[in-house]
Amino acid sequence: MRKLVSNITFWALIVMTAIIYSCSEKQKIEKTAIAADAFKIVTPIDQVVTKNGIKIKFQSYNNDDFELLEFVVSGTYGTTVLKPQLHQDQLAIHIPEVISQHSGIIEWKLIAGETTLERGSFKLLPNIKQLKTVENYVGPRSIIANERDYTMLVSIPVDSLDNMLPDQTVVQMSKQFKGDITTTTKKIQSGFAWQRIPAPLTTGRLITGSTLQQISSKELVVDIFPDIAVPFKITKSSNHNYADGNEIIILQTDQIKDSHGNIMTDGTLVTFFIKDDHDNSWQTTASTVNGYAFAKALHPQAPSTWTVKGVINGMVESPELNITFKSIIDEIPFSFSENKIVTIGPLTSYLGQLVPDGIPVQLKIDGSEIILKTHNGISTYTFDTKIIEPNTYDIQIKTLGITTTKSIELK
Amino acid sequence: MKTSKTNKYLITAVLLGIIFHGTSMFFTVERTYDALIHLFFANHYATSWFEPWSYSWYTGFTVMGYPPLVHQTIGVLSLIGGLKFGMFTVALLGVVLFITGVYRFTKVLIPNEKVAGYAAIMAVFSSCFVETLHIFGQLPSIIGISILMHALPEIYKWLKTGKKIALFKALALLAVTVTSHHVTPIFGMVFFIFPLIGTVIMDAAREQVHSNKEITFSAFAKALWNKLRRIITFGACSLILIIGCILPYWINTKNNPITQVPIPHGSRDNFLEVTSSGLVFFVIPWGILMVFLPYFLYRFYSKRLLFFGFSFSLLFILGTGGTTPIPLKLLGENAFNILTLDRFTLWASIMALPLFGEFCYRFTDGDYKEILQRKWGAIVHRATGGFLAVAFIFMAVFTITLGKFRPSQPDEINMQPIVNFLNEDDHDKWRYLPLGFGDQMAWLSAQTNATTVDGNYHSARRLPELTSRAVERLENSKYRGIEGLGSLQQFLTVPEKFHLKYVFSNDKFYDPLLYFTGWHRLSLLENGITVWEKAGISPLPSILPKDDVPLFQKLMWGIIPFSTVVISIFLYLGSMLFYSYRKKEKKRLYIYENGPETQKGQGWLYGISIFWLGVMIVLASIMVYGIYVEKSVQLTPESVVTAYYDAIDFKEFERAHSYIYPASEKDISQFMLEVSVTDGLLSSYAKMDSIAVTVVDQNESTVKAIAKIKWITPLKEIQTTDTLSITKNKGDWFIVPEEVDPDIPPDQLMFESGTRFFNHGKRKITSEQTFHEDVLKQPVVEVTTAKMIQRDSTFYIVGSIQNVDNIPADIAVTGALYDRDNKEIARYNSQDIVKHKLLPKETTPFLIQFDITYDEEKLYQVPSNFEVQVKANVATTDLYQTVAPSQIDINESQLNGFLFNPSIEAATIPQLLISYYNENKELIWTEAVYIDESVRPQRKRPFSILLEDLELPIVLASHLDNVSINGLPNQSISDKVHPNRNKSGEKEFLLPVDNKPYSFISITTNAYIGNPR
Repeated sequence: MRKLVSNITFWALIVMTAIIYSCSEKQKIEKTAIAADAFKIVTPIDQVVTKNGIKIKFQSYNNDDFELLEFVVSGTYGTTVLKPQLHQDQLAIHIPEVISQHSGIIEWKLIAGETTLERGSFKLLPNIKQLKTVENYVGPRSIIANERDYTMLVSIPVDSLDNMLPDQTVVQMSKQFKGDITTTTKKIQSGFAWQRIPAPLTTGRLITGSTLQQISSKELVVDIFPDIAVPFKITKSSNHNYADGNEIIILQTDQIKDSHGNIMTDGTLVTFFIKDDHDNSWQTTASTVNGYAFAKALHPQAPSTWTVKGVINGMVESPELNITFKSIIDEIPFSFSENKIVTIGPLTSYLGQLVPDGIPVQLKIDGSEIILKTHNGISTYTFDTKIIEPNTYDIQIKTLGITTTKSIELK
Repeated sequence: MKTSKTNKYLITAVLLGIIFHGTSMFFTVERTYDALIHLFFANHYATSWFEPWSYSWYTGFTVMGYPPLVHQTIGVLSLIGGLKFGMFTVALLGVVLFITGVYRFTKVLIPNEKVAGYAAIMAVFSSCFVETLHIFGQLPSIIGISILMHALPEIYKWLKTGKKIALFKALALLAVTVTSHHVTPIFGMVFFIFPLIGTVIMDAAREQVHSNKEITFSAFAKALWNKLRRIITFGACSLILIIGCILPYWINTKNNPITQVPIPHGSRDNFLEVTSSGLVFFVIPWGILMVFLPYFLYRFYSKRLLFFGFSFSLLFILGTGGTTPIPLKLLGENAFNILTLDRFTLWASIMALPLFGEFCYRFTDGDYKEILQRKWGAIVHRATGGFLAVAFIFMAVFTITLGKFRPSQPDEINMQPIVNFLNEDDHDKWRYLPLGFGDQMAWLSAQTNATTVDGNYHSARRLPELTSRAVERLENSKYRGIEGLGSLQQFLTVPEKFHLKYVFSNDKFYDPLLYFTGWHRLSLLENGITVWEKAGISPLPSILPKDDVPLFQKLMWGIIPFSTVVISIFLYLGSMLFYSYRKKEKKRLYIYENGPETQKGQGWLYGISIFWLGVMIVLASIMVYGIYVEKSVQLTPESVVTAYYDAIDFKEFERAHSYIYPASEKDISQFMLEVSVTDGLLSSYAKMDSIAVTVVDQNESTVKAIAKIKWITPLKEIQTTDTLSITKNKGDWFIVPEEVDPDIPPDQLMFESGTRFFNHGKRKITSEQTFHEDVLKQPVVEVTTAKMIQRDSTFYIVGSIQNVDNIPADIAVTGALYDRDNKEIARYNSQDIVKHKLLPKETTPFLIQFDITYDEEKLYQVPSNFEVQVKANVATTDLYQTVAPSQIDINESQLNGFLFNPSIEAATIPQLLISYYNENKELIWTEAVYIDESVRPQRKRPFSILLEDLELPIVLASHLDNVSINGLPNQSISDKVHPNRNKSGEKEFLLPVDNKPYSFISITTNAYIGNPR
């Protein structure tokens, strides 16, 4: 216990001492007047940027008061205050590399307390002998093959310390499209050269690059995409034209192109709107592959005529296409047994074969509706006289677009 | 030294405890509700001890909302062997402290070393303790109550003898309690210390007189007066400690009052109605102790323990939750809804342990043994003892394995792949959201630097999106029905507000919601978690806001809790040293009689106990019978239907098949085949919420049952009405299966060619920002119409958007409403009523709904201007076109037709965006209709949609002036990309509707593909 107390006391003492010591540090520097000509630096001249910093020597100085001096330097990246340092009996100011490696105007001021002893400025110039690269930017990265659209290429050549080069430096800006290479010479202005590239009227990839003496830019690519499509035609393809409800019909466009003959990009969505002569609607979509869109739909189950149109929303549409589907049956086979069982079928198709399973058969009796599905061409229904009163009824049977009415007597 | 004789019970208890709990905890604690939360907090302290702000949850919260000692201890231990080592060590410490705590507490109540030893052994297997540790994982609560029990003898000593060292020890232990758990000392004060004070005074009064009978009210008052100074000293000091030790906690509570809407908790349920809550929060914690209730009451209401009797009764009642209205009245609305009431049952059962120990002692070794052996004979007595012991231990074993039989958590998730994913390529610069992780989300948070909008400590929530809803966590929002999903939707719809870019889905239930709110699947991690991503979300800024607290609070929080432990240890070590130099003398602190007086009323007690035992046995039999009845569901048509749907809901198809009529010749193979081909919102993404079965035209052996079922799906609530035929066979009811759709697809083998897309992201493998040449141009989309409309008192923006570019686009549409002074009233994104992924030239309608809540002070404002911002990014997935609306026919109010799937992917959840137009063919409204069942390739799915008499909304404004696309004005895009827009496909093919306020509709299809090839 006692040890703990002594430990705490020991630490408390250390902390206290530290606090007192840190307070006593804040001594005020006495101000003494410094003669205006007591210090004089070797005025820096315009020079090339450097990674090593810039050393500014003093023409005259005295060893006693130099600690009062401050050198305020403002470069492109901000302002800082430097202190002269005495090194091997030579007083000098070292401008650090963060300032010396960025080109631009450097303003400086030598002050002592509140008096300015000297001031001036000099230029840091880009190092045109040591170039690094040409930074290129191009945008937008994809344009449309028409007269309105264009993209822009910007080249920024830089020296080894990432400084932009002086105005009037000449840059070769090149582009290649489908084998044609165009090179333009542009002069740098405010650090960069730029060029508008009008969209070619054919789709493809436009490749750009710039060079300056020995240095080059990266390759940048612009995609040229097709313009708005022009009207196209549609056709259909199907194995037969029977309304059996179990066959795929393919609606297809011809190759969709824009006004310059460019094929639409893959994935362009085409919608097919279908209306039939019974006021029913269909809708099916497909995206293009090499300009062609193939959309699938199911044959109807009733004889009907379709009117089809292919559309790219808000842009183009095809002329109408009419498709007629023929009925697969002429009449509905029907039988009634045991005073309660209704059998519809066997329903047969255009070759006399059984219709595929799952063809809906609609029975209407006494205002209520029953929907059956065919199994092996046949569907049956057993009436429950607990639910429906025994009587004579007319039942309406509807399937595959044909309707008949039969009279049955439930017992 | 006499203690060696009795200590063997205690040593046995501690060893048993370590073996029993120490071995089992490795299989249980990680699956508990709370343990991983404490682990998360511990990780916070381990990484930044003095910084109370954590960015990990809720976009930032303060850990000063929970006393830190236990967390800090785990944190310190984690530096040795990792977080889980710390957690298990502290849990083991809790076990030892609890057992010894019960021992010391018993000695205060019943000053008999043997009784205390028995009580300690009972404490090991006490089902409430087992549940608190192995099911709930409430480590701080356990440590808190254990330390409090250790403090009680010291408090007694101080009040009785006035020894200052006892006061210091008591206060030191109380400080440890306070810093481990805040609720324990506050309520412990009321329920443990107040009765203890009463007992001290009672003892003091007893010493002044000759027998218990002579303790009158005046004698008691006199004794109270004598002790008052000590009581006040202790009371004042402990109050200072409770406030002082966790002062930052109190300051934080005052500054950030809990605004959370009450979150339902099982312990507040009516246990008779919600039997599962009754089991977990009443039957299990009480366990066998319930049988001895008459004995406990008899002993508690003997004169000495009278005050503990009051306290015990009160705790017992409070522990019953919502079964009776008393707890609500006692605690008040506010406290009732914040506190979890299971802790009262825990304390009540702990309070009963000493008496249970005493009973066991008397039953096996003491006077009861003699009495009962005389009455029943030795064999029956032993058999009864054996039975009780087995039942007691069985209860503990049952409780410990409860998590295994009724899992409350998803299976353990291997977090490493997720942690790796978040570390990869700066993914932790965005927030993430786990879904379906259970309490393991805390374990993930503890392992990653990335932050989430969710969290697992409700009291610390600050986002209004969370505090305004009674949602436990976003992660398990499906358990809170539509309200929970609504909260989740807010986060998924406006993820940019929270910089939420990644969702880790461990529950496919949420996947459709993610898809329809514009998220896309990124990859499947090797632990089976799906990563979902949202495009175009900006990363978190490097400096995030926080509520800073003064330095003194940080220092207090970091230093005081551990100091309390150090001081307590020093105090105990000091007194041990001190005592070891002195001769031990056994000193009785108070007069305790177990003479003939205690035999009074034993006859009554025996009678009542036997009666009570009978009641308990009857109740237990009813429970067992209830379980049996629940199992044999085929006794009535209603229950077989309910059971069938229950089995379907839990995907227990074999059980579901057992309810199918055997004569229907649907064998399990056919049944399973039919199940495997059904998919869609209803069969794969729905959770049954309620079912009501009504039976119509019942006769001897056949019945028609109508099942009305409410399903919760991630997208909407579905009501289904199924009519089933039920048939009786050999006394059991069976369901007659329905026929399957016999439809046959046209082709056996299908061919398909199409366009697919791929985007590299970064082509160069570097963690630098993506290079200029790898940044894709944002696709150009165009808003073709936009209208601000009003319907009742809700405002909407409706419009349509076309991707006019040649590359696919992923769009996010933001709308904002402004008042007359151009002040923003509301801002929201389009949720699911828009197609988020658009192929080149594809068009989608969109609708943004604004939920503006007006407080009474603010006037109802009609917005006068609106803005639409569309953000488009390159999409490469979810562009597949699957369903084609076919044979559409509008028959008065019924939109009939079928969806045909001409593609080779199954459309799991088809969505129809139905747009409504006025007589001028202008878009005025859009809604989303989900088809409940999937459409498999080349198959049809008939649908029938009721067209409501939708009143025309009021169009407040209709223009494209304030529409921008990727920050550019819409008009400039329109002029440049597509100046000669025409009406192709926009008006000609609208479907006319008669006799409705609107004149035309159109259908846009979209579909969620659950299992893309």
